[in-house]
Amino acid sequence: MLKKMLSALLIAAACTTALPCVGYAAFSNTVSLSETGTSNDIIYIKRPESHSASTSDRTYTISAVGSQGTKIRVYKYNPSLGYCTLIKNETKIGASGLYSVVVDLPNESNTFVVTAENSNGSQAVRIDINKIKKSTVDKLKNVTVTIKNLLW
Amino acid sequence: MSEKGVLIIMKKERLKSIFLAFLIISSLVLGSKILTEKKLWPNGYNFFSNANVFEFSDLYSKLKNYFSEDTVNKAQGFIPGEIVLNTGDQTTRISVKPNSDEFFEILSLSEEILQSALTLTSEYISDITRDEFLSSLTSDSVYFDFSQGFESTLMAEMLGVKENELSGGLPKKLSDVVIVHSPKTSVYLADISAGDFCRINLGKSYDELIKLISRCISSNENSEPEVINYSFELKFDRPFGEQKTTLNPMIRIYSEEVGSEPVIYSKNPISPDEAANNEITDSILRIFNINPNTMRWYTEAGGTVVYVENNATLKIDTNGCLEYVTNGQGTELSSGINEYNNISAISKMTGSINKALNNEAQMYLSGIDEKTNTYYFDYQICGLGVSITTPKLSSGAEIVVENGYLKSFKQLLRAYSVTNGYTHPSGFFTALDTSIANYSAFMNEIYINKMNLGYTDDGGEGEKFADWIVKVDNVIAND
Repeated sequence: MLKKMLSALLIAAACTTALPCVGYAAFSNTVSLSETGTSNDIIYIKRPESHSASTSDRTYTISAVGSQGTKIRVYKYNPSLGYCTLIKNETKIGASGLYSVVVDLPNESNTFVVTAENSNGSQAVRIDINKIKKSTVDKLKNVTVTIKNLLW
Repeated sequence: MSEKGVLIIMKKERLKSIFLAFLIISSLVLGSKILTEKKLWPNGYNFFSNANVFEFSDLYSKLKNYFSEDTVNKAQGFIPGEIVLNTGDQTTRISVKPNSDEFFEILSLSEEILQSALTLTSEYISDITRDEFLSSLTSDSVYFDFSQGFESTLMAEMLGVKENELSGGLPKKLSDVVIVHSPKTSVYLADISAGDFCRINLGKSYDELIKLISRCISSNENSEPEVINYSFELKFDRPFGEQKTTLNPMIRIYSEEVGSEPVIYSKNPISPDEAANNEITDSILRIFNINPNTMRWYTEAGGTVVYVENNATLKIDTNGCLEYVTNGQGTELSSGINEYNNISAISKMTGSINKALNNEAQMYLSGIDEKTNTYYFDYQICGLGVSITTPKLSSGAEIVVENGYLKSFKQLLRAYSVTNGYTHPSGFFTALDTSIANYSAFMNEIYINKMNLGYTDDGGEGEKFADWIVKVDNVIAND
């Protein structure tokens, strides 16, 4: 009985010690679109705030903040493969805690996964950027201005 | 006497006349050289080269300055650090630096628009929010970075608008100016640090500016795109959670590697051995109304050469640091207490010194401290500013003017030249992180007010490489 209890305690202790290590496992060159990581507070995506945006431009800048030493990678979803491939190599967040990356937007619908890892765990964030016509963007801007004017 | 004999005598006489004429001309040429070459006179005194002690000479130089250098002043005063052409898309947004012709073409056309805007009545001016101001940068517009900050009355005068013509309701100080040119022209003015913003609707379009901007953008289309984002677009101007670093919303962020920049060479133009007696020093002394032929001079133990005339003392140390101090009232720069006149006068002085140094760099007004009446000027070369970090000076020139009188003038005399070499500056975030790492051990929060590419000169002679210059405004230390 005592042996069993001791074994259970040892297994529990081993699991507790090993779990963060499992969580800190590095992302490989491909990730699944459903990947979320082990934590949700490793990085905070500042742009796009809602993790999705629309633009008429051929590039988009994603920005984020995180603690120093956090490793960031960017993947792009490939629908024909059914998973995401690495497009931006690993970068470490520096003393400023700020990070930004420019991604190309070749398609109408572009899905990216930003992964972050540090000693506290890992996180993967899905970001969707849609390309729309410039005239649509201008119309949207005008609508915003009109609503603002009405409010004032 | 035979006819042949008469001819020989006549020939001799003609030769004598020619020889005599040659001697007279020679004596005149050599005599004038002796009279005007000051080194041939005892103690350097020369009556003829001292002609500028006379009143008419002063009058002449004043008239000459008045008519010849006014345009230089305007350029030195009303010059933004950078112009950014916004297209609504980040990929086609371009930065125009002061070393390009387009920069001055855009500036010239924009001056006309700003002149019109600043003289409109208050019904055309409306207070706007910070977000409205920032949204002007995400449409078709031109942004002028006046981060040195000018009083709006001063900027108006630089544009040729008199104080009594100036419209009311403008921010007291101006740091950022935006001209939205499509569909109709509006001018957005801001003092970012004070949170003061306004919009002036001009209600018409300026086709010439639009054409010029289109030309600039289309000529840039074939080059490798250099994506520029404003800090506010990436939300780095607003802290969130444990974010310790906040950036000024107008800082331009380059997430990818920037293009190569020329390597420059910095040299002290006055060799310490020749400081006491060379043409550059003489020219500089004349700019300060010190007569090189009548002033007294001596060399201090450290090698600093000191020139003294009446109440004025001008020193040039072995590192090329010029210090001019006047006792009493000081040297009159302009009649009346008018900041624009003061700036015009000291711009002329810095411009003339730069000319004497045969410098490839230009000088521009980089800041004003109203509390101490100090005007700061900095060097600019290849479209980038030079940040001075010597023990005596942190700007190219620091000039104190009180009530229209020059009290002191300090300048790091430098002759910058462009070499054939090019270098790649470090990445934006690498430079930012390195700079912040110096504070990270004790800081809780840090605010970066300015970050731009430039050269740093610590006073040493040699090659200087372009890199990011980070200006930290505020550090809140840990408890």
